[in-house]
Amino acid sequence: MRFRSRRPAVRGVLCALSAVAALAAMAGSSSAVGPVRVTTRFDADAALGSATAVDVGLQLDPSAATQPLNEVRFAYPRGLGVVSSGLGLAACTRPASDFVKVLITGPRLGGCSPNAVMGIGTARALVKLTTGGQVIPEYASVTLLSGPLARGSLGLVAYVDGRHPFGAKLAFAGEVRDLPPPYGGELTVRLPPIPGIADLATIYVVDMHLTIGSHAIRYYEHRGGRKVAYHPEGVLLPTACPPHGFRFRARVGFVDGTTRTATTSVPCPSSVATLSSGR
Amino acid sequence: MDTQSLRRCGAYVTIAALVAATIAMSVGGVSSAAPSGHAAKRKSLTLKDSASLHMTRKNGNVIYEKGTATGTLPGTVTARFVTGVTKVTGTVTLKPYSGGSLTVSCVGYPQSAATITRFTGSLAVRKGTGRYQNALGSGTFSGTANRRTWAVTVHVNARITY
Repeated sequence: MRFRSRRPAVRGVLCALSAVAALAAMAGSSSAVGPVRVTTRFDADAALGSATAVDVGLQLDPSAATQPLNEVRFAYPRGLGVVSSGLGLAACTRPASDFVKVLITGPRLGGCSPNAVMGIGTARALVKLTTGGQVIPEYASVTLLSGPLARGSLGLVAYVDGRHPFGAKLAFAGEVRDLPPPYGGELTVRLPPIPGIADLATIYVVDMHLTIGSHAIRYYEHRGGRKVAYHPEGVLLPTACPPHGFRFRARVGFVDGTTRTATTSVPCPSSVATLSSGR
Repeated sequence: MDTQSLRRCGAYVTIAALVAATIAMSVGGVSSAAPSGHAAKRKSLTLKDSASLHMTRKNGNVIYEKGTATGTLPGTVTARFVTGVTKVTGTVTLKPYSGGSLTVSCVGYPQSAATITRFTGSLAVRKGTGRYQNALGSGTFSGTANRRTWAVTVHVNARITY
């Protein structure tokens, strides 16, 4: 069977889709009605002036999506402390060829430092086989890492680690750039086609969930000659709320050049921290 | 008085005003000549200071710091930095132990995404108090920032007139 002979490639495609979805999930909660829906929230006990995880969910309606994703952009509001957080204290550097072939091998996180992890999450994609039309759901974990500084942006690396049933490892490149108000910056992840599998299957990301500054992230530092784990400080909220809440924007690009945009505003937390809080 | 006479009179007044102004400037006269007289008294200073700062608080993407400076103008330093993805802008106030204060605007660029990152940048003297109340100047700086603790060390080279 043709599909079986190229199973690793299909796995890669699935993983790629999952990664795309995860990136899309970084966008704000969407009020848009259509094939893309985004939700964003802070910690339940988040307070102005303190650190929080930013939880992003992305749902794509496969019945309305006729093209695979090729890019996900997520803009966050001005004043949000992404750079000033304790996230991304190391740079994950991969050879450019990894982002061309997408499918990678190697240890967890591709050997990158755990101190580069900025967000973790999950993704679900539907793999529609070209022959026979069979649809196979694939589940994956997603990790977003900070990359090197280059050409006016901070690099990003998105790892998709397929769990079931394919289990391939995929790497996607991206970056963070400053944006003019009302946004402060934008995270972009590019999702190129995975070489060799376009004729085998079409992958549709249908659900992604990514938590930037997740409480599950562990960093390591040396104290007194010992390697000690700690929870990095999450995204810092300002002490004053923007007039209409914290506005997020997600832009999802498809391979045919079309885009979908969803925006949302996260309501202002009701409490204010007296001092900048860590974890 | 005909039009030609009016024009001639106007010309005389203009010439007289220019002569008066020239005389006033040359002798350091009062009122209108005061700015020029002040400019003549301006002093210049080559500032070479190093400062160690520590974070006092954060507010979203804004980091507040304070510390001490050593060098040409030793004193205390307070700073407010707005962090962006690839650049940091801010305002830094130096209060020399000898009196007065200098406030500078600065923009810095990190060189890496490592925990300890080097940075370089430029600054402009924006205002001052006391003996530096009319301070102007510009310069450059470089240093390191610990992105875990936001402890900062910075070396400044600036040319200032006041």
